[in-house]
Amino acid sequence: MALAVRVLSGAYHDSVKLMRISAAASEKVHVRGAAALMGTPMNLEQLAASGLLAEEAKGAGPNDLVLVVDADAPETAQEELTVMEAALTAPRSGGGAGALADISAPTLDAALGEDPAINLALFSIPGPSVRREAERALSKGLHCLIFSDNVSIEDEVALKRMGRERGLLVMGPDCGTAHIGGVGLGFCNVVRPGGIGVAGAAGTGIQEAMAAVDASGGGISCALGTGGRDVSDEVGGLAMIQAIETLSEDAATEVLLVLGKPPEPAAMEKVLEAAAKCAKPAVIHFVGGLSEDVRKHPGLHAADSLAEAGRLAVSLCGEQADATPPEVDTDARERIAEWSREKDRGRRFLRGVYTGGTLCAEAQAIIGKTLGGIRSNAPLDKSQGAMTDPMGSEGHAVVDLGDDLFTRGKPHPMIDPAPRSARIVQEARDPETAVVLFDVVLGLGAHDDPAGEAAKAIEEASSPGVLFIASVTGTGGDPQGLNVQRARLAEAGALVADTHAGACLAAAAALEGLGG
Amino acid sequence: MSVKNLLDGVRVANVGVALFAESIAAQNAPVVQVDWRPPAGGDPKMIERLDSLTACDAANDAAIERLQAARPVWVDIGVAIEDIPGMGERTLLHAGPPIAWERMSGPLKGAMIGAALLEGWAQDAEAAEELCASGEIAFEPCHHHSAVGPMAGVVSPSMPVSIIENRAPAELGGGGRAYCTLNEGLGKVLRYGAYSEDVLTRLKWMADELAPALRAALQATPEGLDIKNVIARALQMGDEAHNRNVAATSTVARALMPYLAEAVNDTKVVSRVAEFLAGNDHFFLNLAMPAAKASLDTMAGVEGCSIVYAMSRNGTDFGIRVAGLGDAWFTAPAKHPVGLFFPGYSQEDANPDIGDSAIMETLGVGGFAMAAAPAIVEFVGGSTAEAFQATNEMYGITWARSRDYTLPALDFAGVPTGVDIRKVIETGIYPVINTGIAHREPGVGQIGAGVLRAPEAPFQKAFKALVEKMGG
Repeated sequence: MALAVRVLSGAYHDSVKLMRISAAASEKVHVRGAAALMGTPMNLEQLAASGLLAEEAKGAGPNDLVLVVDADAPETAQEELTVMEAALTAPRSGGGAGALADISAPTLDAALGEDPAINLALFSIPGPSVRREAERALSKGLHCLIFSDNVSIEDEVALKRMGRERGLLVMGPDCGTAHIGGVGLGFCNVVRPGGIGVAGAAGTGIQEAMAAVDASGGGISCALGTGGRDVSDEVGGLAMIQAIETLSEDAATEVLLVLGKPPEPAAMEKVLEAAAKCAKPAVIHFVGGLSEDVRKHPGLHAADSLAEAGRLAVSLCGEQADATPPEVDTDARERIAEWSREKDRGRRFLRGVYTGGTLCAEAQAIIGKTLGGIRSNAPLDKSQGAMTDPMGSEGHAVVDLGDDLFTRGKPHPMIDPAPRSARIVQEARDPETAVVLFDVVLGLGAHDDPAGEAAKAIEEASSPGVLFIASVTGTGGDPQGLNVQRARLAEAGALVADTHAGACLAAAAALEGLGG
Repeated sequence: MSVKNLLDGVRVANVGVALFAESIAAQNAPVVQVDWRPPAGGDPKMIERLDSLTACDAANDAAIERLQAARPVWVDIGVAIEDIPGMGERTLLHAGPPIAWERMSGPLKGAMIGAALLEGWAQDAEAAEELCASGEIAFEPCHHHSAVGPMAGVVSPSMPVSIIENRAPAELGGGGRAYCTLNEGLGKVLRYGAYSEDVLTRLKWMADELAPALRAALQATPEGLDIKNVIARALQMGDEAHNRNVAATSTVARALMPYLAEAVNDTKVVSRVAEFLAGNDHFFLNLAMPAAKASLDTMAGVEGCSIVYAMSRNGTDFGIRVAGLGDAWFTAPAKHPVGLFFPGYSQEDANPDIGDSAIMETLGVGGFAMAAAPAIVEFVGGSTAEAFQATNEMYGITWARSRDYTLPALDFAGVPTGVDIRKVIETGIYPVINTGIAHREPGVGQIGAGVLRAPEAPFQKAFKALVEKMGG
């Protein structure tokens, strides 16, 4: 028997609370008896009767809080006392943020007071304000997910260096998607748990690949976003390399899936080296990047599209992935052929209307192989200038409506699709438009019924000569319902592909030979 | 692990768009929404100044440790002239920062007239007023004499005063004492500037019978009455320890009664004392305030500390003192509390904010602990949600959560304690203060109670002074 006691002078706590603390301590296997009570004469008598009245407690008065533990060893008794003392002031709630859960905290500090176990700060505040707030979060030991854009590259590098020094991950700026510990953050799809760990410098790219993983029967261990600019030479892939290292050490991750828009050369090399160092198989896909660069490194696998990268990761994970389906199936080909026969000769241009930035880039990469001269407000090939007037398309054009240009002071079009609907109508009514290609992105954080809004736009445009081609990025678990969303688009007359790459290939097929 | 403590699970602070927090909550994951606003209203110069004061962090940690460790105990009842340090024969102490007779508001003048009459310095009110205006009487803030007083806060030489001692270890600032008069009750009372015959008669009885009886009872207790303990318990019983003191007063009465009956032989006296306590819900306020002062004064003079250790009003000016800025006052005109009024009175009759009692908010109770007192939520709008919100907001400007003063309705969270002027400037959130309301004319007394925010200027001035001091 090892009796340990601690007397806290002048500390008052409600007796019911103290009973709870006593009970919690008494339940432990190595504890024979425990008590937390105010030192009133009656309480001290009670302690004596139960053999817990240690010498030090005998002098306690009614204003002294007495903690006593009888355990199998003196060290365990002392440890338990410390646990009991901590329980006096610990926040009670295990799951949420306690009684103030429904009330916003006025500051980050106050939030940490509310729940000291917070380990991640998610920022969606104006870009220029991010650095100060994120530095404070990092100094308090929090990982950061920065959704905000308009953060300067100097700020980004400073934050990522500071994070790296402290073993903290800085995702973003401009990071829209992450999935950690089973929780989707920002825009994220509902996926089953599994062995694929994603590191992505591409928000909707992560979503498209995760959706493909899910469709092929695979699951996700976690998905870490870095923000698109992370793989520029100036940032040097700081977060990407950290994410790859984290995934290679993560026991739940069997296969790495590394995604992004094309990195700049020096960053690319660093990222590939980090991935090659990892003992686990890794699929690397940079939209519009060269597969040869990837395959030079042993152990790294390359893919031709985001969806294919997802499927490849599933098969490397040892799951029996479905065989690669034809990207444009027979029904679709017939549909395209029929449209092509009936369509007006003046209709010859592709018009892409995007909410997802990486998907807009993938459209340029895939369709660009067969169709030259595609312009965009977010050109994949930076040497090519941006389109002259982002508000009005000419020739083949794909617009990313999630670009800063369109979102300043407004919600992202994945949250509020109204600007996208308007643009669908605008493009469809242009007599030179042959194909309107668009994405629908489902998942947490996204609009309740994005397909419904797009379908209404198609109906409103009332342009029978235009071929509408859509992809739906989502999973069966997403709140909007993948099949419901696809069916709604088909009902409005759109050709709905299984993957975004499939939609792009269908568009390319439809436009091939139109001489646009 | 190249990245520690992340992949096992996230607990998120969502700073910005609430939609993301909703989505995380919908997944049954823990998330706290943070209502972010641009720091210091987005003024880059002010942000730079805020960021120049990081040295305050360590000072605040050290200072708050002293505040947390404080253990104020009611040890004795003495007499102002004998016990209050520096109390002069022809001195009257008052609430708030220093003020000359000419600038005093109605109720403060009324209290001074009443005190002069009580001391027998003048035969009637007119003569008392003349004396006060003559410059023969020294008017000094209670705060300059280790004392505090509610409303007018008047202390005259012959008045009995409670003595509160901080029984914390000396290395944590223990040993200090604070003084306060005995609470007279509600209605027409001196502290609200009433000085009619019945007011003076009651004050005499308090000095002649109440104080000696309570003193005898107190001396019969083994070690005085632990006021920290009473405040902590009262917060569990629906008091916020400023505008509601019924639970604490009852607790004190219950604790003292056996000793009172033991120490005082005359049962008539015991009966009158018991009756007085039973009829005065706010008796405890005059113990809570010096307890708060004795606790907060331990922080005064901690180099580099940006925590406020006194907020106080004299009915004309509102002033604060900051631990790292010594005993300087930073003042601005006092505002009018918004409140609920006794029948026959209205907002127009109200005097500007008055009293040292904002020492309770400085400690982290009163308006800061509204979540403890659902019975008086009418003061903050009528719903418990608004009371929670008041407390919640104060977490945005305080350095710590109290270890001992806790809020059962908020899962026993500690009250927000230690107002940091940097946080006030950064958030633009100003302390919420519960208060009684005095009539603007002398001699009338209390006409209601209410709530208000501290004015902005004292915090801005103190902040400027702190930046200059720390930069220099």
